[in-house]
Amino acid sequence: MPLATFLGLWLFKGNLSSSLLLDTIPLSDPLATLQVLMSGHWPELSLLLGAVIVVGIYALLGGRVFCSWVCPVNIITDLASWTRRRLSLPRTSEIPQNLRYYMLALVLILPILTGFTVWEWLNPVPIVYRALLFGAGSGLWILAVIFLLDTFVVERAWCSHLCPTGALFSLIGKVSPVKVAAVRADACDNCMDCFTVCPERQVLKPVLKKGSTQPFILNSDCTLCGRCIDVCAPRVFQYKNRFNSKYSNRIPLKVESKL
Amino acid sequence: MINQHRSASKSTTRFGHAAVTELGWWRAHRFLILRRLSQLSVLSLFAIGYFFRFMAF
Repeated sequence: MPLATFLGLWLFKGNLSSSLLLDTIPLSDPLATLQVLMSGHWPELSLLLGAVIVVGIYALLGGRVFCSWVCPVNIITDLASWTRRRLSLPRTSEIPQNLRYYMLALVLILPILTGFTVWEWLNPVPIVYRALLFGAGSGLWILAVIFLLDTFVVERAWCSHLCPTGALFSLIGKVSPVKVAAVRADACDNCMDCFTVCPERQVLKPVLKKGSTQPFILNSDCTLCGRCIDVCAPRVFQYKNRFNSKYSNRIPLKVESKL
Repeated sequence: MINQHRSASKSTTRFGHAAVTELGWWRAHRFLILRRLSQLSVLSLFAIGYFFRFMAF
């Protein structure tokens, strides 16, 4: 309250689906906006403009930066993954990583058939916000299901396999200059700690395997969370601009990799 | 040193122990802490908005 009074305005008016920053700059969830468009309604100009601004921001910073640095559901799925590690739960069955793109297609087709933005009733992102800000309990079961699914059924099921929002941000991230780079891949000692913490471990393989000449993790499934940077004792990884030619070519890796 | 990392991470020591030993606690948790701060900041910015609406309007 004192902070808000001091500022004299709302920093963010609205919610994560659609808001006004400092009462002037519209920001909106691109997936929610796409759903409105698909439902056959022409959205307000501010919603469209807000989506364009948000897409621009994440295209610059790295698409799935949203997932690991902004999305509150990530805290729940990280907790599930930490629980799995602490309890040393056995590896689970795999489901295809690209299921999220089918989810994205489904989320965009449903408004055509129904005329409603169906996904927004189930989307766990606004549910976390409503729960924390209003104490609204309806929909909390979805968060519980996500936690139990991630912990006991399929590891990283939600964020790395199913979430349509993550799928859209992954597509946006394909043009982003910010990437994690294995700048000291030759120092890798194959301890596999990065594979253990990485929520999208398939993205690590191309930069660490023997003969690799490409240091940048270009797969846009990478959420740029920096866990690999934190966990690596030989300091293999760093955030880098992929258009910086200094890092774009390297000597083929000679390490005998177990990958 | 290389073997030290490997044995540390494969033994019964806590996960990520090698990184903490080598880099120190902060550098081995830097982006985790920064991410949580970022997530909670975005959340609180929206919270200020809601709170202010209820109090003042």
